Amino acid sequence: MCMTSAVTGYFKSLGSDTPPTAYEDIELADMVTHWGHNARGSHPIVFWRIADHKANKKIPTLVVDPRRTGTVMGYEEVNEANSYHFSTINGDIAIQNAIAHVLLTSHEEAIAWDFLKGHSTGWEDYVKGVTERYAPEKVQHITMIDPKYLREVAAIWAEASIKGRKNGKGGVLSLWGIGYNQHIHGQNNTVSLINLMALSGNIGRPGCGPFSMTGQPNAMGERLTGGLTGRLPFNEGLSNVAWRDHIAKVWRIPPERLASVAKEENPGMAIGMMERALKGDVKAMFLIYATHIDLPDQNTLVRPALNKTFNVVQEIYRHAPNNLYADVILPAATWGEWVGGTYIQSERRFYVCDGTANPIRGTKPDMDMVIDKGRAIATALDLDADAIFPYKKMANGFYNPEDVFRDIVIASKGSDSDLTGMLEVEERDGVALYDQIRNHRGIQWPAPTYEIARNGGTKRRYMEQEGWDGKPYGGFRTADGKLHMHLCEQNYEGREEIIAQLSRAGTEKGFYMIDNLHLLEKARDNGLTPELPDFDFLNKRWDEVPVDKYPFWIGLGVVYEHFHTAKTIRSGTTKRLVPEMYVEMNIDDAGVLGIEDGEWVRVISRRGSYEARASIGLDSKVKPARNTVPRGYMFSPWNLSVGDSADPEKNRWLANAITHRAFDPVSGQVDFKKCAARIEKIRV
Amino acid sequence: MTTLARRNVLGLSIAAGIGAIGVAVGVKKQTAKPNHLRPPGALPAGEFESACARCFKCGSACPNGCIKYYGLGDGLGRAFTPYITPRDRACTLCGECANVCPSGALKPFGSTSEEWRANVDMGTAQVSKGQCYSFNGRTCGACYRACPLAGKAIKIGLLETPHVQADACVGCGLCEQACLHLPQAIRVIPRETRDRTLPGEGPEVS
Repeated sequence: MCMTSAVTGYFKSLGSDTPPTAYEDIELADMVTHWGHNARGSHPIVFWRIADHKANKKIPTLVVDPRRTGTVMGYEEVNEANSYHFSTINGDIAIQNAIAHVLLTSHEEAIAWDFLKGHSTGWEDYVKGVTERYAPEKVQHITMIDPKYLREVAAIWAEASIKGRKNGKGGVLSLWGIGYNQHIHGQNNTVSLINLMALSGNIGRPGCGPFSMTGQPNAMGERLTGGLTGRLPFNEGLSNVAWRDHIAKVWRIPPERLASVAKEENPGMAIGMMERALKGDVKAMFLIYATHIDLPDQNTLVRPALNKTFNVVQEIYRHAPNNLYADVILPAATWGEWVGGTYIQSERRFYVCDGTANPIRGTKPDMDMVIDKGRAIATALDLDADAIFPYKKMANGFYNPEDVFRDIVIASKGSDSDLTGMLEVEERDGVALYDQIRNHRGIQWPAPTYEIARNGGTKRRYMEQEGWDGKPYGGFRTADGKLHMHLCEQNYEGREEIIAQLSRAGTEKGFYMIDNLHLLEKARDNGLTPELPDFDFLNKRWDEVPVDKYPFWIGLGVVYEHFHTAKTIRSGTTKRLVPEMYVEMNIDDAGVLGIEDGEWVRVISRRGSYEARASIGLDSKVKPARNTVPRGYMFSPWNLSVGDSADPEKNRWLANAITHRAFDPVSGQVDFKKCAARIEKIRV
Repeated sequence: MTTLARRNVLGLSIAAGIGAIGVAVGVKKQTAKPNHLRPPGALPAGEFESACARCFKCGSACPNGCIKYYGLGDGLGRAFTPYITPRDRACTLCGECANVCPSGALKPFGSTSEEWRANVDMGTAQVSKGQCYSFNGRTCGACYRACPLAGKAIKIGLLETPHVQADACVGCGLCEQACLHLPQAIRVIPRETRDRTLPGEGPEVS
């Protein structure tokens, strides 16, 4: 639900799910842009590195976010003159195409024609499309940005791109976060950004490139080891027969078993699973921490579905919301409790994390549970469990994660993310795998040779930046070695009709999204939203808005004082910082609605509602009050959803009660950012 | 209403009486304890204790509930005078206490940030760099966001490090209340402690 749009977007454009950049690129960049990414909150160290670089080198920055966030204000504090902010709702693709239009028509010297002609395909269509249809003036109703301002930013973009190309390092570095991924057109967002980066030659050179910022530390680890359905470890699809057989071999399982898995389908991904559970096609679910409250449309989709299925829940918290729907609970030990392991962060870097405490009695590390269950299943299937899982328990009764990591490294041989250089280092220098990672304070995959592994892995990727011979890493990882450009469109013509159809999900019994994928595809191809607010009712007092009208945009996100599912609300410190559910409201909207700062309101959509305190402006008494929202747009955190109570009877803060289940038909990511809602005052 | 008023008068006279007895028997004037702040707009130490009528009106008026009172156990000289412990609950500078003060011990100080800077001096915040998360590579910034004069009294530096501007800080203590670190890495040095010039008695410097 957080990064799959980046995954599928990277694949479509670059042929591999690989962020090509490193954090070191920040200090080399000539311009930094953030898309749907409040870096100051979500990646503070990254933000401050950029802010420091901005202060030293006076580089321009652009933040694309509906809200004026701490990131926007922080950059303005450093240097107001070259800090730009695009407050757009859903207009990202049109903005990028419009910038491309301006580059092509007014700053041709910024176009990397040599790169386009030599290393990419599809650029002709892209150039033609954006030149013809995306003049900033023509798409202003989509971008929501003053064309003059957009042209100004495009000029800065051109200047930075030229500078980077001339110096051989630097250019535009574009970071994006979850706010950019969670759209019906999430994958297109990624592709569209890569298009613009390629057009201006900001890829394949130090100091520039597209850079997805992952959330939880191990989002990248899950991606690399094939955590998504339809994927095998190390960036290959389940349909790749040769790689499938290779994985079967290193997993020591019969290849025909893995081949039979390739025939399975998972239409609609996470949402599809829930819908099929509602239909009765999915009978059981196994939830490993993946909390159900981060899924959309809780009232009509997720909770009814979980009520029907047989649920096994692997959890570390006794009061986790998943436990309420569990038939079997497997108590697990956390990552910090003795066993440790590895994780990967945004720049492809492996880290070792060592446990510090002993697991609580009766709990087991996740890896041990997987191995033990795997052994039991293998035995039941008449397979040789000892051969498949040749791991031995250590004196303390747990398996050694380093043994499993060695298997991961061995299995990566010859892949896009080859790590086998580490084995050579172990053999020749006698340094154990984990120690290599510890010594380097992280190794960046790939590390296919002795020299590269010894030097801490590969910093940057693509256009031969990896720097070694005889490995299949030339230009890009697509079949033809070229970057594939696909023009992504955004066109609001006739959107009312498509969106009206989408609105049937969650409100009409028997209407399933997976049976209407063509609708989602149409919405994606035109860059639409799952819902459309009733703008005609924007300027009314809250009690004058008819009950079937929803005049406001509402977007959900995260408040960083609390971790997912608000278990941190039980900690005195974090509770003091942000004690309760809130909704950020524009001061003018609040005035028209007749809502005062601090009043409790109900946020209502077509599918459900939640209660929140109105937080108006930066001086609000409702904490944290550090962002402001544009008119017609509101924002709430979803990670306080069960901060009041996990018990559905008493739970009033469940933000995902209101969201729409529309998702990106390729990446499966849900659009949490643009629902339509109404505000009602709660009378006390 | 009459009973209440009467009780107020009674309480006031008892408190004032105790103060008067204290003065009469030669009890030394006691200022606020070293870690406590007087409410905003307070007269300088000494003058404040003389002027304060011990009427408890400031505490009743405080909508924030941050004003507390010394008891007899704290010494006769400071008994029943108001104080604030910012780390428990800091002053929000609303001004209600000073507005109701009948004796002028607390002077009304206005409601704009310029007026606060001109008229309020409860103390000055000080950061312990050794303890502050942001100075140790872990971005925090909770104090900066709590500061009612953010950008003036606390300027933010690299990795959200707080830099107190002594000339702009009024010592309200909201930063100390917000500090995530225990013990607090930012704390308000009360006016009296700060201004004490005897060697060895000045504020700790870290």
